[in-house]
Amino acid sequence: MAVTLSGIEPASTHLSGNPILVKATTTGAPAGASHYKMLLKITSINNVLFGSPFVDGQEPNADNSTEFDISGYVDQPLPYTFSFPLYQFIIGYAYHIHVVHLKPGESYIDTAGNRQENWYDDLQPIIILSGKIDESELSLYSEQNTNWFEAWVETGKFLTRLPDHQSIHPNQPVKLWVKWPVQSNGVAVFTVKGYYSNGHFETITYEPILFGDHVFEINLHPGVVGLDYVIQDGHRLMRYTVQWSGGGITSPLMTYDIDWSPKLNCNFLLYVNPIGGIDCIWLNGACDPGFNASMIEAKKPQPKEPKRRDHTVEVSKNTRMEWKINTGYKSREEMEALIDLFRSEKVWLLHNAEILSEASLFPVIVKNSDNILTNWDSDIHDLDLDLIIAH
Amino acid sequence: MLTIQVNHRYLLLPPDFSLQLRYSNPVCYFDQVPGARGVGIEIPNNKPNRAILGNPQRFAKHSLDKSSRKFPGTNIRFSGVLLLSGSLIITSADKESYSAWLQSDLGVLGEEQREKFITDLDWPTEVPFRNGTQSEFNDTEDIYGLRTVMNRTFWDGKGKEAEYPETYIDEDGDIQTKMETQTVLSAEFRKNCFYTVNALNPDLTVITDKVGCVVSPFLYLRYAIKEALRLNKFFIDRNDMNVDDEEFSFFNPLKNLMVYNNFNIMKQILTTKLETVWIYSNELFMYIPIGVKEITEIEWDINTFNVKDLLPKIKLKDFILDIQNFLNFAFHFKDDNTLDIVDREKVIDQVPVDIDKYHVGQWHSGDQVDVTLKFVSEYDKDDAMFGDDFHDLSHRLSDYGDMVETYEDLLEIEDPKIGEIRLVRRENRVFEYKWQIISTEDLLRYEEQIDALGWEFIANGPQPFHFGESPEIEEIHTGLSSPSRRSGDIGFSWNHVVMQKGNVELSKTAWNDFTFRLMCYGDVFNSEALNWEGDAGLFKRRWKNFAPFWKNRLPVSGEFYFPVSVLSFVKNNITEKFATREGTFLIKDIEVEISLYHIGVTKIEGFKL
Repeated sequence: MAVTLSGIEPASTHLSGNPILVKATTTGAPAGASHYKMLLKITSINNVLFGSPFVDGQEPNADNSTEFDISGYVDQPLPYTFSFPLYQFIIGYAYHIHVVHLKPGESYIDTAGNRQENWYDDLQPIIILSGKIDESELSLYSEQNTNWFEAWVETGKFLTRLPDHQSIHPNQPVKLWVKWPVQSNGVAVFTVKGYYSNGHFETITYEPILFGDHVFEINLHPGVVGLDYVIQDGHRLMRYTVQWSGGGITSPLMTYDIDWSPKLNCNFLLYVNPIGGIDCIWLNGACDPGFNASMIEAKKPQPKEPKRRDHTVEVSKNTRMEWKINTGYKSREEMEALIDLFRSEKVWLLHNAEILSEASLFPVIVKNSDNILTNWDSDIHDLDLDLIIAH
Repeated sequence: MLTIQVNHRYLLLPPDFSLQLRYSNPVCYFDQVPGARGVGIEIPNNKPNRAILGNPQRFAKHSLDKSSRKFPGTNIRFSGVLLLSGSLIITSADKESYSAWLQSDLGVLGEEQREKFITDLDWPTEVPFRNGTQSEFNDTEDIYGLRTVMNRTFWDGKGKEAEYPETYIDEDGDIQTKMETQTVLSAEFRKNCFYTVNALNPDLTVITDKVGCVVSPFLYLRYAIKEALRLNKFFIDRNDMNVDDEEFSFFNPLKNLMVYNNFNIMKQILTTKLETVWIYSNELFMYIPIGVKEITEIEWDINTFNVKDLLPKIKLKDFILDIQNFLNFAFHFKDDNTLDIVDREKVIDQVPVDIDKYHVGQWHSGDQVDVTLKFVSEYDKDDAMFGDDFHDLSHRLSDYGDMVETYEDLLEIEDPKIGEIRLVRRENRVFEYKWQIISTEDLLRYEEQIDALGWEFIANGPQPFHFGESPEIEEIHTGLSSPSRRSGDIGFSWNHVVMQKGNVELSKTAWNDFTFRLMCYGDVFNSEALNWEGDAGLFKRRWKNFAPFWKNRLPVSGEFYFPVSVLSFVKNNITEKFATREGTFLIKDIEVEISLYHIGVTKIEGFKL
């Protein structure tokens, strides 16, 4: 007797919010056995999964196999963080991912009426990023005989669905996220090129070691990368590109166009996107701060010798900050990519961020629940975002 | 996403579908063995669901056929995580939907076993009897042990009677003899075995070859529990009752606990001859001859026995509850047909599991409980050691003085108060210091009565044990008790003593029931280990941590946002101690509403520790 696992590759990376299917196949139940079940033990290796190890059991189908969906076991909120203030080009996070081992097993009642339990060789490791893509995208991968891991991680794509050639603020803390595609560590070469208004360009490279069980944050703020905003004769940095290669992979090139024109306001939203990264968008439209207060009143009798300043109604108040911030004009592609913002459950506001060191960082909730993102008859689009502080 | 599978087939659920799941912690229940449930299930009537559940109309047609409404092999999962498995029970159905609830595997077991006794299970038959010295048996390797029990009435009512001389000491201190009627087998039992069940040979093995001898293997409780569950396809995972690894486990009274029975596995091989006897006929008003098979010889043989003969007639639920409420363990049944036997005493001092990061909102406190716990053990009314002399003295708690070891200690008490009552521990009998009327004879043998003050027997134990000072009583009831015990003649030796008619293979039609009782021989120095009272008694050994918490428990409730895997962990480990920053608590009940794509707030009710 033996139970083996298939349908999932060791060192593969998966999104926790989508089904992670593991096929278990048995050579068959022992003769005379009853209540035969195939077992799967899911063990967290980096000790991030609360409650690990988990054990699940299912009866086999007629073809001696069954499928386990382990997504629920590994879909736990991660202690997301990101670097702010910015201090380093690349930072690795071990706890933005789960690393699990899968062990197949079986249980049954033997002919003597005793319960037997056997375990077999691990399949490991399996890397889990917190995220989820929608069913239409999953279906597309399935029809193309591929999956998210092959489409994104094995092609070296940065973990963002924001479009290329975004229009950004000069001081915008642009972040990209990278997952090394194999279990063993390797050296990656990151190339950042800054292009200036006189046609000059600067190239800066970094060659960090990337670990297979980490996710890496890349900070592209020019001050962190080492690009000057202005060079000789006042020529400004107009755009920069970033690309990485290593392990036989070359990522797509990402380009950011710097918008030096004065804007009404400067706020940034950082949010966890559905594929394990944290994106940053610029909100340069009108910003109207506000508040949301709830209160409970209680009446008390007037004191014996009342004064004009005495309160006879006491209140217990809870007040939360709110903002209505306009995105500013964005291209169709940038606006449509904002759907990930509205899906996100973790969002932060960098408020009054014209000078990053003076910005205030707030965790917020995006209250918009039903909006049109773009109009067919327009080339530029904007949207008012209703934000409330997540305290 | 939420899925409901019935035998590997998915039910189709609408986008607004939701159900509630409820889990309960057996540590906090004394009147039931709670199981998990899924309620509020409304399944739409569509083609795929009809193919699985059948047409709604058939439920009305076959309303008396309960099996048509029950669908075993049902699982509720969320994103692949198993939350509940059991049987889907359709309560009603119409053209729009089926109303249902999910009964856990434990609930299914309870329903199957509701009308059955544990003796109805498929216990091993024809088990070979192995003789040996008492010390050769233990509950780790054997299914039964052999211990001596005094029972002078085992053979009462079995076989012919005769008169036998009985000596007694009269008022003058002289030895007198009188003739007493008893069964021949009783007389032989006395002569050969001194009325002792499992009486010992000189080599300390059990006597199996004397007329009238009684051999009763006593099943180890450990085996009885394991086997009763195994026969119902449940298997023990964690077992806090196993004290094998404890230091000094030899002295632990939980070691080698045995289940009492009154069955003699000795087989009687009868030789008969046809005889004519004259019997008076009330119809014919004359003596008439009747042919009978007279038993001329009884040979005694011992070979195999059936385990079920050694077990009390008790339902599985009562079997489990009685053990829980006597020894203070909780049976936690899980989804994979396994269970944990959890020590309630240890739960109090456990390192808590921190779930603070999932807590939302505020904790709410209820009214603190303040009760006196009354531990009530039922005794066997067919055991004359208790018989009609048991009276519940709970209403006289305030009259109790400290218990004493022996009757002689009682007599040595200086200046007892009238109305004072005391337990004589070794006899497990209660005496009251009261105005007595003593009958005596003068020199001319004329009877006279005198008024006197003295200690008079008023009731047998086991008396209910009370813990607390509050006038409000909360009963913890168990059908489990222990036979009486008496000190032996040598050192610390002691024996269990019963006075109960026995059972043999040949007289099964006139079965003398015996109740669920435990015998303790694990600690030779503490004969009262299964009595409630005393420093080495059951309360101090098994309830001293949990009882103070329970009698003054503070109900609390709070809400949590659990990811599904954490919910699974909490409900699978519901007997653990948990903590948030406000403190530690024991869970009593968990309720959570789950919709197709979301897990709602989990409401936890419990008690602050």
